[in-house]
Amino acid sequence: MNKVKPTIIIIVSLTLLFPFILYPWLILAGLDEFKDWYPRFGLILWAGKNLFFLSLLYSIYFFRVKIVSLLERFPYISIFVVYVVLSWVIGEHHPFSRIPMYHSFPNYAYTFNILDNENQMIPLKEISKMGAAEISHLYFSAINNSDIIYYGSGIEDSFDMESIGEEVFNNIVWKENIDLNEECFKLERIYLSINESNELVTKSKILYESCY
Amino acid sequence: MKAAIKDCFLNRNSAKEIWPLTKVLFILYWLFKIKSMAYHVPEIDYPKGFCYVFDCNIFFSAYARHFLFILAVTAAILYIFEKFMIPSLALISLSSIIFFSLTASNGVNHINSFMSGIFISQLIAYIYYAYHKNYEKLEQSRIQFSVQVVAASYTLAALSKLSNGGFNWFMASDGFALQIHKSLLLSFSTTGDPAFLEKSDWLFNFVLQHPGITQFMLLTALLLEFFAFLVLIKNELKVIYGWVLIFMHLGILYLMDIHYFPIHLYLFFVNLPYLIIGPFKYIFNQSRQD
Repeated sequence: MNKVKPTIIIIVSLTLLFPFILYPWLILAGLDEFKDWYPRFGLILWAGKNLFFLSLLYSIYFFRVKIVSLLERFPYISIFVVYVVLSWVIGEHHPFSRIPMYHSFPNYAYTFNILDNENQMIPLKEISKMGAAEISHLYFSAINNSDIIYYGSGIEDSFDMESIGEEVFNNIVWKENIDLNEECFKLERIYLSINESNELVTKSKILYESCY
Repeated sequence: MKAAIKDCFLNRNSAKEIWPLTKVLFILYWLFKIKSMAYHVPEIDYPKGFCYVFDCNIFFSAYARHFLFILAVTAAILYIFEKFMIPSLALISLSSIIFFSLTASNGVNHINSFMSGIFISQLIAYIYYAYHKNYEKLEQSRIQFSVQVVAASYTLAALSKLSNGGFNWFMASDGFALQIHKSLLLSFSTTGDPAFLEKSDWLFNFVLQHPGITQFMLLTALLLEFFAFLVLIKNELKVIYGWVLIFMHLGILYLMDIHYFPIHLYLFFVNLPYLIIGPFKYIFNQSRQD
């Protein structure tokens, strides 16, 4: 076993890992999920997956000294490899990230406005320390941390959207001179999409009103 | 003279020469970035990073955030004067991770989040080469390790696109037109400047009418990001690659009004400060020789 070159082991492991890199949810998928996806071979595939990860962990342990020496031998690329692998496995937890900016272009997008009582848009820089892009971040963070079934269709349940709107509104950082007890604001979401005739479709929705 | 200009533009200066100015500008930029995070009351609604592992409620106290910021400033001063580098880099890395995690846990992902990774890579360089007492290697690796983190970030961005958008990610010109439109409308919502509305309409229609140009542009960006690791092979390639990536960011600024200053490229790839100071240094050295 000791005669097997660690380089070969690493290359083979990375090749076998590739499907799990592309589809990371496979790592955590349990027996029931495997049986759902592959009714005939679910058990075998699930057992194979677990066996693969156990042997991979054992290989890492077994070759730990050689892996470290390999990284020492190629210092000009080792940080790169370790950072890419860790970021991919750990995901969006600082200091790691998969840098998911514009990783796909769905046929919908949202923009956000703050309106006054007369439904006139107020430029955010006049009232808030945040820009509209940051409000968009808040919206998607709230959506991703909720149980709401989210299709990006612009027709989500109104009750769900109210709770999301309230959460987003409460996380906006306002300027010091803004007193929310005295001023009324509305959080508007504009849904954008392209229809089959290549025309822009927009739908407006008030997600939250600070005074009713 | 010609050789000196070539050396300057192709980054052939010794790593020892580049390091002081690079680290001073980088740490000042980092302090400027974390200052706004330190003086903002966090909401830990979506625990991420450090706050995912540890309870970050302690940072609701302004005293705790101020204390951490003062520690970060102290460590930054030691870092600038090259004193106690291992503890000061450890403290800088930790405070960077905490401040960026606080912002991410507040629901806002920061575009400069790889900054912590750069400090950690420098810490690794110091620990590893100080342990082996190889100071010559340390001079090169503290910059080269930072370059590795930056290159890894671009390659990760490309892998993310391939994983989520598939190999035909660059073909989705309609979706890209929508993203441009959205991005400029967000700028309009922030500033109230109607020029963004005109620009968004014009660019939206242009991209829809010229899918070929858009797809070529997206494919170029994807390939550039994916092959960022090439800069690790040849040092001189780093400069050319750095300029190309800077122009890519300028293109994004024009198209989508995403204000992002790629300090990592200016400092670690094209080495802009040395590019400015280099000619003066050459003239100074020449006059001394004369």
